Amino acid sequence: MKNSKKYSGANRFSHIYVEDRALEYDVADILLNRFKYARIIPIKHYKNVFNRPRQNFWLQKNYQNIILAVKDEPFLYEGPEICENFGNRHFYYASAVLNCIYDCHYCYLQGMYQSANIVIFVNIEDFFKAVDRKLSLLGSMYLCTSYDTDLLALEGILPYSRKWIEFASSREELIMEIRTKSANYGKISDLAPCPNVILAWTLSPDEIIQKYEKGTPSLDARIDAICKAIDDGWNVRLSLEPLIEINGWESIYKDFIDKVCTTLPMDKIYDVNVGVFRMNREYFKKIGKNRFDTDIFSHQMDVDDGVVYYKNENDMEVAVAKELFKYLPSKKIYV
Amino acid sequence: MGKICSSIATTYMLSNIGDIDHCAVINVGLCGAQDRKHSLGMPILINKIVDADTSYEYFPDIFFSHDMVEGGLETHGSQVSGIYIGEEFVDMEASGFFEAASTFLPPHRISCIKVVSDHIDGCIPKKNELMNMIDMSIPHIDNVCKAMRYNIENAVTVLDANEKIYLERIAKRLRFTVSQTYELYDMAFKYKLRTGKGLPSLEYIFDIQIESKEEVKREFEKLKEIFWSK
Repeated sequence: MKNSKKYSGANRFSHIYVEDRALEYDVADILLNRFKYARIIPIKHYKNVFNRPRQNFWLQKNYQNIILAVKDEPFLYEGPEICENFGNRHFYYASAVLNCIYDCHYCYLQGMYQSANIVIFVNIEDFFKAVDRKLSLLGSMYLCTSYDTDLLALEGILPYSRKWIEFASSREELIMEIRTKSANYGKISDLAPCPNVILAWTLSPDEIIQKYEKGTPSLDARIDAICKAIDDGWNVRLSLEPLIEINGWESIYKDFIDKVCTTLPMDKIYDVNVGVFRMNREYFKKIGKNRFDTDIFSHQMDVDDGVVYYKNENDMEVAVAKELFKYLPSKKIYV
Repeated sequence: MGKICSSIATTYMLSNIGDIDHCAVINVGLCGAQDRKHSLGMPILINKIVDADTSYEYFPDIFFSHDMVEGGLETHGSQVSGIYIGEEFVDMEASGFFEAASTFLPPHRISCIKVVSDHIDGCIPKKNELMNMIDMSIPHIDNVCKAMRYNIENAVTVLDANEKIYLERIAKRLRFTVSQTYELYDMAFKYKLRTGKGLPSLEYIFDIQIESKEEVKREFEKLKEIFWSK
């Protein structure tokens, strides 16, 4: 009964669920030492916690816990059509972490997963082996490692971006993208820039960040991190997505692009992609029914082939691309 | 009691509750402790339940602060004595309760508090001693009740009870089908989220006399225009 605060359920990461077999891995040790105050709950399989029925994703987000698990095959998934492959062949993604510490209103993860808890697969080396196997089969690969999470945002507690970069540095035939909204570049700034790794920053106007990207760094903080990464010699991709339709979006996005393109050395930007908000229809319906703190899902949308999108999707893309053309050659812009 | 009976009792109770969306359920009972560091009378907030027969695991979501010890509980079909159990605590009801409650409620509205009544290698206390242990635990149990109640009462809603009644009256007046009624609720819900305003005034509807299906359709389309206006 002493140390009662240790057992508070009202803190983030107050509980850590651990698969029995995950305890054998160093990553589990590191995390359990990092969160000594957390209550450790042994589990047989992560899905017993993660896939429970009727979980309230949005409430759970405020009391997020960690699940440490061992991933079984498959370790790699083919890149979905809805995602940009930037002209690369053999497009795959790997999810060594499921879920994110940020709470972006438009995030598809809240439609895809039953739970907001963060699953960390501790056997990262098995992901590396799977990539090596695929590389020997295909000869080359374009791999995204931060799709179903924000790896760099977690770098302070889980150095997986570092591990992926170190892995990629000795594999020239692998092109790897690490996508983030974080300003955590300092956590990997000691690493030598790796020519086959692209650090991709998702950027939005501050109006969007403040309204819809709960918990994420400001645009200025992201721009600062990008400047440092470029100075250090990293390939930096700017990902201007999802474009969100808000009142006055034309001028908001114009000012945003002016700001980004006049602050950053655009000649050193690897490339830029632009994408309007789109979502799987079922995810859209599920989130729209359950998320009460946003208007994102309360607009009339068009549906095509199971994907929901804005009625004026093309107008938004064209308007934003037009602004970008002022600062970048078209070959560097993916719409 | 046993897990079958606890499951039946939970199902009976929850299926007779009208407003299940504003309800939480807590199983309060006794348990045995494996370790003597957990003294007799200590209330335990259960964070994991394992059914000893099926090995199924159940996990409540604990979204509140509390001052109790937390622990894992193993539910057995018969009395356990002197054998190794995987979890720190043992009982004969919780898995049945939780499994049944899970079909009605989300895991953050299901809770289980067990008071340590004996140790696995020890003797069972007398009835009056057990009653005393439960009495001593009441403040802790009350805190959990209050915390769960607070979470329910402070849950964010978009359409309040009066607005739901208003929409129901409209749907009835306009003789909407079940599916049209659902769509009306959905449009009203999204209208409020999108505009940040209250529902528009629709009093004119109560002066309308609906005579045909065509009129129903026409009025439904009119409402669509109102609710989807910017």
